[in-house]
Amino acid sequence: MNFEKKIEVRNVSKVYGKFIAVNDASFTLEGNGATAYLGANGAGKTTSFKMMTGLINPTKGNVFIGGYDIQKHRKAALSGIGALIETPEPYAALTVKESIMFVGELKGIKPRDVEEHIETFGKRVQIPDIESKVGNLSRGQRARVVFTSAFLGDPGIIFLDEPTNGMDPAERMIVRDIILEWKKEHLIFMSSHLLQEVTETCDDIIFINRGKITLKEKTSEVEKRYKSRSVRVEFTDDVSEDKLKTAVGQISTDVHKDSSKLFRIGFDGSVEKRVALLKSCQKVADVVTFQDYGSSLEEAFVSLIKNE
Amino acid sequence: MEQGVSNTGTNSMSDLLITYIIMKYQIKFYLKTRRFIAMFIIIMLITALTVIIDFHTGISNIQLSEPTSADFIISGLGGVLISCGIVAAFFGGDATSLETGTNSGYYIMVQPVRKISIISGRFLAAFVMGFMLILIEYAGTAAMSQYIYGTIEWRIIYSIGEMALLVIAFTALAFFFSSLFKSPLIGILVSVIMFMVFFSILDSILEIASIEPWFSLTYAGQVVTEVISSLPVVHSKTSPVANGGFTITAFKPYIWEGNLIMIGYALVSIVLSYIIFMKKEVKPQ
Repeated sequence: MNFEKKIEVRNVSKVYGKFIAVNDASFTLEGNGATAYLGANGAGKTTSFKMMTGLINPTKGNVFIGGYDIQKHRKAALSGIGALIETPEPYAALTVKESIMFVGELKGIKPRDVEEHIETFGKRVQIPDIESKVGNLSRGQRARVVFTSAFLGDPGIIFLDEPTNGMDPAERMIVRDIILEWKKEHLIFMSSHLLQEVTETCDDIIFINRGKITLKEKTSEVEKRYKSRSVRVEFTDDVSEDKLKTAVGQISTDVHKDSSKLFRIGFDGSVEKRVALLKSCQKVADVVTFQDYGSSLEEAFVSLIKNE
Repeated sequence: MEQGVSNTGTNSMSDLLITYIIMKYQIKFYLKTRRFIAMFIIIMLITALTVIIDFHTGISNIQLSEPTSADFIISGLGGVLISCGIVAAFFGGDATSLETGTNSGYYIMVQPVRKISIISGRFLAAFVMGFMLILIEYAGTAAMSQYIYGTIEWRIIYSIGEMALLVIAFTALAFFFSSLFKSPLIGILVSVIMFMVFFSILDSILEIASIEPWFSLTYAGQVVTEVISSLPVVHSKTSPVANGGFTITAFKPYIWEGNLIMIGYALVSIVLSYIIFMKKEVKPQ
């Protein structure tokens, strides 16, 4: 079976009654790397993921996974993927080991290799006791079991829909490290609301808004284009809001007081204004920290939604 | 993004093997569920109760009212029709909605398997579970026959075959109901109501109207005990009721007729379930 590391979405639409969840979406991803699929809630991300993994059928258009049309050659198209879509729930009555073994057997992986995967990958993501029943696990523990299953059998393409949803910071770090490692030899397509996570892990970004693909670009390019337009300034002493507004009035677009020593100041994002802003702040009081507030990706996110 | 490299494509297994794997894990799942434990207890209780009643009645009295092992087994398996309906409803009633109506679908339906393997594996698992449980009732009745008469009517083997066919037909119909509803619970509930209430009422009404209920599965299911008897089937028997005010006709299916009805139910239900399952999308409630 010749399975390409390639996702091809061709003029795909999904319509529910009068609601168009995905509207004529087209894009192609090929080879190793990680691509983020971004968009607001209800933009059509999960619907797209479901069409790409055969959970639902497009109303129009075609999805090719690994070179196979998923509607016509479901088994072949899914043979080289690992997927974590929404909140999958293995059968509650089965144990952790049985649940992973089940997927392993369906993928045609030898039991010894599945056990090795549980031993190495499972330990890394800290899956719970393999003899415990899935039904007795917490949501986070179940997520780790499903995550372990998704990466079973060295799949060429991995779909991750909000993979760190419900995870604590330590768990998120583990997942981030795995994505960084796996993207070197796999094609990862993921969605996340944590834009910092996307900045750290993804090489490319596809943006979807109200069902339409509005952007497909390198993460670095997006970051360059959408610079942060506000800074957070911390002073050594208490500062009056009026005094600060007077000092930065010509440079800033708005001043927001977080505490008597901490302020957020908006500006046009240019380097010149940033330098001028720092100098003006230093005239008011000694500055402890002066840093971007929010990421470039957040700016892009908000800007792309507004533009629509 | 780096271009081009081909990779993976792990699953070249046959659909038959995948069906077997799904069946295996589905049986493992069933064996650990409360519903299996409940079914097992119910069947064991029915069997135990039959044995207790037999001992209470006394061997000589039983031999008087049921002179042969065949008569005893026919009487002992009187409740099998209901048992078949119950086990099929409980194991088949949620079979497809578990994948399309719950988050379990996100775990299994993204694996490299054809939908036909999923539905076939689930069907086989539901059938195996139901069949094995009903066999307990057979084992209890056969053991008592051996104890009382020193023999077991050999035609019980035919009955086991008919019972298997009946479980298949009931399970297929439960599958059909399960494919219609999103909620596994509703699928089970509708199946139970249909098998326990609807068919019984239908049979009774038709009996009063003297119409042969050839489209009723519970009517067809009577062949399970009919095959044990060496006597020919009395197809219909009309009796006067209410001092001759009106008559009712009790129908019994011919063996071939019962088999045909059961096969018809099984085939139509399986095909319809498959068509609906193929079109259905994973949409948990």
